[in-house]
Amino acid sequence: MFGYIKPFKPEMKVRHLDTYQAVYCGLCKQLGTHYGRCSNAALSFDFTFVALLGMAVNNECTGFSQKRCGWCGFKKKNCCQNNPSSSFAAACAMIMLYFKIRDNISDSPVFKKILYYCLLPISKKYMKKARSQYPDAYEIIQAAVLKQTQLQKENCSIPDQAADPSATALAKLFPMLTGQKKQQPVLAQLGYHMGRYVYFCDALEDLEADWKEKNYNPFLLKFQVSVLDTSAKERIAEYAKGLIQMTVGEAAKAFCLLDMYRFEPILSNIIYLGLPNTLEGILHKEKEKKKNGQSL
Amino acid sequence: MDNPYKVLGVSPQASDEEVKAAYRELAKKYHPDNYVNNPLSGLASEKMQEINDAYDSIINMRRNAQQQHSSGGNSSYTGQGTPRYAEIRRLLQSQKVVEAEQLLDAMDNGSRDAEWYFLKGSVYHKRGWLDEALNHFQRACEMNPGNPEYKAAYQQLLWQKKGNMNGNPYRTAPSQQTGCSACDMCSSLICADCCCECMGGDLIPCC
Repeated sequence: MFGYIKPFKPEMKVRHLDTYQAVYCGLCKQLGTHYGRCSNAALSFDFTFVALLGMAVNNECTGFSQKRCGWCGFKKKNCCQNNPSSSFAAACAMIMLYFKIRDNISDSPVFKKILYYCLLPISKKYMKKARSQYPDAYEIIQAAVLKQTQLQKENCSIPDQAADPSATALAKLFPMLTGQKKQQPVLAQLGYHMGRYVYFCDALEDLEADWKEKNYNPFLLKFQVSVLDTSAKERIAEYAKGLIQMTVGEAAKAFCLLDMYRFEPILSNIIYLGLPNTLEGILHKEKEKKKNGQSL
Repeated sequence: MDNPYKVLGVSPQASDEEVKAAYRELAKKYHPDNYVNNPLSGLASEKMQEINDAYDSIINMRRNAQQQHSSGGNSSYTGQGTPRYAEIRRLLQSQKVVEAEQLLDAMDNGSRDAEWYFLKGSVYHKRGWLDEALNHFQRACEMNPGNPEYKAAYQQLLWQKKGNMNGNPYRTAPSQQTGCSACDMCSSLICADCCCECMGGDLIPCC
């Protein structure tokens, strides 16, 4: 289960958690039936959020049905049935998966490179299918990837600028969830800051790995880290926490202005509790690693 | 207008205090000050107006009288600046961020005063580049510490940086200070009387 845009389950009512799970499972089923067996490996919390958002804003929910889950010992699970929002979320997942694999090929060590090369043809097949249905989504994601690559080549050390391509992509994708003109600017603003949130969380979580592999990381560049010791990690963590919290604050402001027909408690949980909690989890993992390192 | 009770999220049987409390909660959420430098400031103002109209309507219906209350003011770039930045402020207010930034960048380094840093910070804030916005607002405040406009912009981002979120339904409400209770008054008077007696006087003769 991947992704950074997650619910905070301890504070969620059981029936809301069941609904969230059903949307997640529904999306998995949609990926499997529409694209292919392995495509549901791209399933993440982030795309579940996108599907929920679309359904909430458009007042569309095609209902739930029980289907067997291959990943859970063929147990019957409640699954949300196909709808335009989950279809869009699934297509975005396939397109982003393709670009992620292509990106990983260049960044990974030899053994992982071989694995990604093997995955590339099938992910390209899924991407082409998604692209044929949603060509605009493909153009937006491709443009973001190109811009991101350019900034990485230039060793961009301004985190706001580094996050801009991913953020701009979501700012253009989220409004595509609805035809309601009044909601589109709100979704654009929400998308921009969710894009920033995901980008910064990823950069923070990959700090050590990027340092070891000498991969691009805007935080490492901003702080001109020559040695990633405890004090450098603490400074970066402090800075990133403030930056991500400001970003979450802006996302919340946009969320306040969203008109939702359904799933408001679930989305509210994700925005107000899930996002801060995920950040704490990443920071806590860093602290745990440091503690374990010191105890050794 | 939609049903005003529905807009405020209260039942028609709610007391005046409950209506007022609901209005205050929503006004805190949609106040224009929260949406300064935000591309959604227009929508937030509309929402604020809807809430104000609903509150007015309920109060009028209940009390049969005109009530004036503050609308919270409009976020505006035109009020407090110097003339050289008037055009930039006008562009920002019309959401023409790119044009505003071009004019700002054209000004040479030597002439970049506190207001320049504030307006550049506003450009960054509207664009969503929050770290750059914070740094520029901070610089503006350092160059002109007394300016309330720069301070408000800087404080708003600092508040978010600490983990606060607009409209958070999960935040624990801070304990409300409702002013002196009768117990506070009585105990304060007793303390004052004791102090007075220590000094040779007598505040309350019967104690």
